Amino acid sequence: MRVSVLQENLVRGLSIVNRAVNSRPTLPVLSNVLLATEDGRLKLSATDLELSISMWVGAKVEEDGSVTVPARTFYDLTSNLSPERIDMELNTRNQTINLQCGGTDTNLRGIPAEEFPLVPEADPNAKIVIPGEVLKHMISEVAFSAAREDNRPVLTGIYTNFSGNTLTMASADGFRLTVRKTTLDFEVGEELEIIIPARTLVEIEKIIDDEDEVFVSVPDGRNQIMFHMGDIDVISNLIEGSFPEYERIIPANHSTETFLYRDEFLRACKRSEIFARDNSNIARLRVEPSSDGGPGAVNVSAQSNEMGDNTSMIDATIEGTGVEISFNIRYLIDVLNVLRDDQILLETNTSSDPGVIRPLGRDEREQFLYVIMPMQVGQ
Amino acid sequence: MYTTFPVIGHDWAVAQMQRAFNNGRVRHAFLLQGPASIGKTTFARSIAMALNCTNEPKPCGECRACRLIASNGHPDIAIVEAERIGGTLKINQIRELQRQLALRPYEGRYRVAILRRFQEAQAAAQNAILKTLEEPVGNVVLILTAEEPSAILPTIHSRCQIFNLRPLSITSTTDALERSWGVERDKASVLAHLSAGRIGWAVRSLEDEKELEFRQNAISLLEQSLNSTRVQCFQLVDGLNLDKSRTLDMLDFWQTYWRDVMLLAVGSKAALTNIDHEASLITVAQHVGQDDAQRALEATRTALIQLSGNANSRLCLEVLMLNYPKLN
Repeated sequence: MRVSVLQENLVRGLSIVNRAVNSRPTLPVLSNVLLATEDGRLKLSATDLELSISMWVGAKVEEDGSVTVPARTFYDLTSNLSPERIDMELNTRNQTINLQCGGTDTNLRGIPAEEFPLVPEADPNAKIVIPGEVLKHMISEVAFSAAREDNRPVLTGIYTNFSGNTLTMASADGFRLTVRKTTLDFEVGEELEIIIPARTLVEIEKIIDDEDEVFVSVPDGRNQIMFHMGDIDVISNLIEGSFPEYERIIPANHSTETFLYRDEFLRACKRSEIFARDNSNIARLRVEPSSDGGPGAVNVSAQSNEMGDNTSMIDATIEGTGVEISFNIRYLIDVLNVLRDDQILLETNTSSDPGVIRPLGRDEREQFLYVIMPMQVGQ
Repeated sequence: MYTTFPVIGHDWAVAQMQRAFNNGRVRHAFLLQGPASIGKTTFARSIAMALNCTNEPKPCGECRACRLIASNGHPDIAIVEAERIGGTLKINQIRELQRQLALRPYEGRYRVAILRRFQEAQAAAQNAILKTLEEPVGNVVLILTAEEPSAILPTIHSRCQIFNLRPLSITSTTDALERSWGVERDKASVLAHLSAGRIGWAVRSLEDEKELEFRQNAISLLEQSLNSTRVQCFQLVDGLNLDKSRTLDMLDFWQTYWRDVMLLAVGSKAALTNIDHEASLITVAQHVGQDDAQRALEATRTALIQLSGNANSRLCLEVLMLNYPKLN
């Protein structure tokens, strides 16, 4: 292999593909990044067997070839080279790559490319095309409520369903559920139902650019979902299993509707969280409709045996009966943090029924719903 | 077609496995039981190869999948074991494995987890894997290997197809050493005897002279202890500086020694293991007789089991030496 690339292109590529390098790899070769020449470009690939990222950078290829080199070392090295052309040459006998850049001469030992897991390439002509901005927005609003670690691995994933012209993503961790839907500009042929690890979707969100067009494909074996954008391919393995029937968790009706300003509500929650921390994160919401037909109020309170207590009264428009309900305040803060809407709607029943949060005044094509289980507290 | 498992010996088990695979019946959990170094992991690896091989007949040993599995580099094959022989397999390792198994295979057809020396798994770790053993999702095959069945929960046993593997016969070990490792017939025969059919040990001692030396020392220590007083025995134990896995190895050799003594004491014609010590074996056999030999053998087995648990090596050896018969 003999190839020349610009330092800044190489470093930018490495900073992206290195996101897929696990710090504690299961196979030694997984701490390496694959360098391979392909159609006059240099392909960089990294994988942790769950998430794979490939990126093509412009290069002058004099002789084809491929090798893998330690990802961390290679990045540390190249990011400290001067912004010039880097000439790389592979000695296939000892799998050592020689880098010449300016006055710097480096030899880096690698592992043969044959030992690297096969990283498939995404279909650039995939039928499903989602604007980067839409996909980014969706992931940011759904990934946060997936379980971190769970006996049921399906809950660490995001349920993803393409059907008709609707894309649905849902996540749940046993205490809360997020359902996010978007309307696509086209019809998806066959219905598609998969579970994508939340961890890899979060990485994908970071890589996507708002202006990108993201081509999504799920090849027939259905082991992987592939995202193709610009000169980057991101491939995620899917989680086996079936997602719980979440539709049944969504309450069919409610007795109280509370309209709140998100920012004000969020700050009240954050104040309560300080005191709720040593008390299992329990905070109490008292929804008080006004008796004279004017605006009502929501009382957010939390107490700590050691620190003291805090109560915030915020204005709200309330329709229906008053209610007192306790939530894990972290779960409320999480959802209020990811939403960007000015106003939200809280739907509640009794103090032992789940609450529902929806954003208000949003484009009908971008639906969001959050179900949060209440906490049982002795009076 | 599944025909060419690269396994030495264990013909019946291999044949049974191949028949099942050829009939499209792939179990999702196997437990391979038997003494150390008889090829359990090799067998497990060849099952993984057969499941993921892309050629015919399977496993071909030449395709990318087979080569990567042989070099422990296949992305869909996870090998889980205690950090060292005699250590413990921890529950965190099982959790991490379960996370991997939840994903669909990366490039092969099956995800295969090989859990080596499962007798070293903590009870919590064994319990943690029950759910996966019971109903793994998708194309997942778990292969457990274990030396000591008694250290494995009955709930694990009942969820696996069990293969009780025995040491290889002396002839097949000799043949294999001659054929696959190019050892001269005479040397191969001696090694095969000494190894007591544990091919893995024979191959290790081919590569490392120290293995043979270690065995020699282990046997002479035993013979020395039989002629010593209790105090001297304790001094012998004190002078040892072995880690747990080496102590276990030593007890394995002692076990073969007592087996030989017992064979000689009852006048059996079965082949001796320690053929290089035949003279002293005969002397010991004449002195101690069948009953004492059997007691010594049982005591060695008990010590082996205790040591694979959490017993103190030194105390264990001291007790063992007290239980051994004395020659004078």
